Amino acid sequence: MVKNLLILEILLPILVGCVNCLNRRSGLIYLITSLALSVVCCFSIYIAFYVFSYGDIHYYFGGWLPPVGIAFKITKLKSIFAILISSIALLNFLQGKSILFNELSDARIPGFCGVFLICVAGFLGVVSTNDFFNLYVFIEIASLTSYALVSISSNRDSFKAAFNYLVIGTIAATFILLGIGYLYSASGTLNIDDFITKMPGLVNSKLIKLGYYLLMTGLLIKSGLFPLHTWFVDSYKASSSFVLPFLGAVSSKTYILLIIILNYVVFGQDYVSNNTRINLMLIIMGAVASLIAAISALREKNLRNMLVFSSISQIGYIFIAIGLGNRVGVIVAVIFLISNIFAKASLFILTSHIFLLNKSYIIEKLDHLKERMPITVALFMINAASIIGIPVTMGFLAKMGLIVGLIQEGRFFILCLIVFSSLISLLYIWKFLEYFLYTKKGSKDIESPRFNENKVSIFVVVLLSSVNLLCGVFFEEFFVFLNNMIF
Amino acid sequence: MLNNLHYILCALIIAVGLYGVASNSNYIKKLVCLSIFQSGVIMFFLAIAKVHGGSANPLPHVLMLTAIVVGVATLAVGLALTVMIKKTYNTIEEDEI
Repeated sequence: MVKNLLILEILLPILVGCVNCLNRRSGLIYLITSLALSVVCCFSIYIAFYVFSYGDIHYYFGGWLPPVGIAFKITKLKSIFAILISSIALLNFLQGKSILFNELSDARIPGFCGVFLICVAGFLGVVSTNDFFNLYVFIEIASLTSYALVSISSNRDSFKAAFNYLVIGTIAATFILLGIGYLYSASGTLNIDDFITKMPGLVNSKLIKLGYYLLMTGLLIKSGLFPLHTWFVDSYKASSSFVLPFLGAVSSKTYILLIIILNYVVFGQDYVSNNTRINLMLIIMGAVASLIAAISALREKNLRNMLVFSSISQIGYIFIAIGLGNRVGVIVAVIFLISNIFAKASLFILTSHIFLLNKSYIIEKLDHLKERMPITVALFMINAASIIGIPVTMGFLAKMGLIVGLIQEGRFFILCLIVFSSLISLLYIWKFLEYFLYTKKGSKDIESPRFNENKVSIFVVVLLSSVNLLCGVFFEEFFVFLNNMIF
Repeated sequence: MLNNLHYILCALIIAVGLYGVASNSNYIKKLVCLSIFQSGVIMFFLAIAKVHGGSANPLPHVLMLTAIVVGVATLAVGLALTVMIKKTYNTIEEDEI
């Protein structure tokens, strides 16, 4: 029974998404889509409970056993990410009704909801599949719908940004396909579990090495590591503020999860550290990314662009953690991923509501926001604290873990760079908070009325931030949970 | 050298496609080069399907049917975006936007 849920949680959104596009009544479509997303969310939670109590779930398509047929497999780590993807999608959809109906005309909403559902299905497929080629197909489903989601926006730059995203995304996906071809020609199998059992005999194969590098290249482009981050910045700057909490929080993080699984499970850290120089490269590129993106964020005067650059800086930290190549590294990387998903989703949701009420992202226009939107500013501060890494948030745990890991490995130069970029992150967040909190000289006489803050969005952000804070407070239990989840 | 000719041809097609994507500023030409790039990879898969003795492994062929469909979908989304770019900016040259 529970096996079928694994495939139903992907089939349901695809089916409902296709039916959505045929209907024209936007209110009804919105309701159906939210219902479908809540069902998917319930499925993923049930699957996770099952996985944590009885072990991994396998689903074989058509009853064909693994080396021959296509298989789905969900482990503890993957089930948690399936919950995160589906719940962020649901929460974002529930809170964003006013934004969605404000930004798009009624005629475009059914198509938008359909594409959104298929995108969720694509990301869920990426985490649940256990077959290399199937992985490529799901990556393409998720990417193609992401291009469409970026392009459906009221911003006129969105088409150009989506086109560039499409070109770079397709090149990345084709690299992944080529890498899969090399792995298949060396091992003769496409099933990931089967590949892991054959891996010890193939350690010296040059084909495997080349395939690994190609696969990593594609996934690194998709996850937006520093030199290849231009598509990330352009497309997220231009996308509508409704999809940003979902895409910004989930899309690149899913690919980073894939990199973690490849490095620590499929190829294994022994292979990666002995035969390739990927770890060193990830650490160096991650450090450069975190520093340069933080400086770019410091120069931004636009709230949303600042958050996009801050995401790239955080991705840099995650890659440093992955590059450490030990148990501490993988735990820290997963904490970073989870804390980032929570914090960035809440920050983007708050930003979209600030934009809806103030009609601007520019820093000067958000002068003394505290009087106009007090709860929003308070929640913004909590999540910004998680991004900077101030104690009692999940972000603090992640940054502490990263520093401990770097000291263990003796990489003190990288440590200095990280501390420096954290200081810059404090500065760029503070620059905005200063405007939010304090009244500037000369503008004292403006009487600012208090806006009516959207209650659903406040509730959603409170939920996300409380999970963030609870994990930070009960960190011992959280570490036990993570250990249980990863190893 | 002659035994590996098909692999060299695949690599050439992939390189030409990638160069074309990077060097052209016309959106349609970019999409055409993207398709060439993808077909290079598709030919690579067909090349590894060859088994000694004249028969062929059917699995890569089946995989490539799916990859071709994915390529067509990508091309369709790209062309749709090009139409919208033409409507918004009245040009499909990247330099003129």
